[in-house]
Amino acid sequence: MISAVDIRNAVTVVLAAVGALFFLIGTIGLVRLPDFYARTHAATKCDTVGAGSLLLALAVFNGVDVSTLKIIALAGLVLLSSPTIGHALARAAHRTGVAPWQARKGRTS
Amino acid sequence: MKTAQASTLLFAFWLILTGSLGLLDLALGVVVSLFLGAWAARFLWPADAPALTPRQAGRFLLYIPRLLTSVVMAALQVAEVVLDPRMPVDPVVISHRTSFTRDISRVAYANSITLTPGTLAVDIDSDTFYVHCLAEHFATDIATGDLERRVLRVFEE
Amino acid sequence: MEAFFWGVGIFLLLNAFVCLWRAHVGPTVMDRILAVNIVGTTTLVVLVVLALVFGRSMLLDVALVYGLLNFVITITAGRFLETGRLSGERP
Repeated sequence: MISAVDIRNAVTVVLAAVGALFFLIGTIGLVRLPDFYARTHAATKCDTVGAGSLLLALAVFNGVDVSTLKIIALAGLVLLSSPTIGHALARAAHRTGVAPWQARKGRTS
Repeated sequence: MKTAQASTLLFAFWLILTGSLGLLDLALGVVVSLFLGAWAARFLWPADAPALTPRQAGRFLLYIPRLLTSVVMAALQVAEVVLDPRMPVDPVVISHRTSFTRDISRVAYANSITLTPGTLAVDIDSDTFYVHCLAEHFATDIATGDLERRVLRVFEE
Repeated sequence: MEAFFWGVGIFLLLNAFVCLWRAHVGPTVMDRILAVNIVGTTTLVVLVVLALVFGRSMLLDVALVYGLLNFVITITAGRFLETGRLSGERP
């Protein structure tokens, strides 16, 4: 007999595992990718999805509650702030003259 | 008007934070959010809040799920690049001229670029966007103007 | 479920330590700021996990304030390094 609690726990485990996996990918990207801009790609996208998925998992686990509203507000905060931070840092790097890494040297564009 | 908008937003945040509907909590929240709303409207937001027609608001709401799916696709694409031992990245920076007339469409466009697979908005110089792409083929949506038209349809029609 | 949450929390902390390595080697200042920002996001999620495991909803408020501060500090640091000043006017 599968109860509602079992389903809720299963959903939580799957979402949280996906989120943790994306965090791991973001970390690997942060370590492996060749330059700042490429690392910003990994950091903004993977961590947005990872944090969103994990927070969603925790919200599902918590059920209908005031705390769940807070967790959803946190997810919204991460979803809004992550691309903004990526853009702000990329712009700052661009304007302070951090040159993008290129696989083939001496190419225009 | 701006004060009212800012105060409403802050009051909603207050409700989430306190999570109670007691009379004292509500009264304190109204006072604090009115005060902070007036302050924020005066010092933090010199420009007017963007006004959306109901039609634009509806399209914006429809645009959000699309953005969410595209960020998941973007993360999967980064995963594909990062987990590949050869790491096939060949970054290019492209520039694209746009014809937006409102700031909110520029913001939405920059965020859409960042949340689309393989592209990252780097800089804006008047109306020219500089976009960092992990590989050249990710740039097609931006270079052909498809993404720009999508944002234009949401905010400027 | 509690064991699972402990596992997730520890896994995230290990991730944060690897990000600290990037903050240590750089090479540019922006890399360091980005790495520290990611450590902050990880910490935010860990705080929410702890709030559920310990049943202390107060930690959720801590996480909210932490997230806001993380955002503001990263933006401010990036802006300061870009323009050399913190006020609104362009140099």
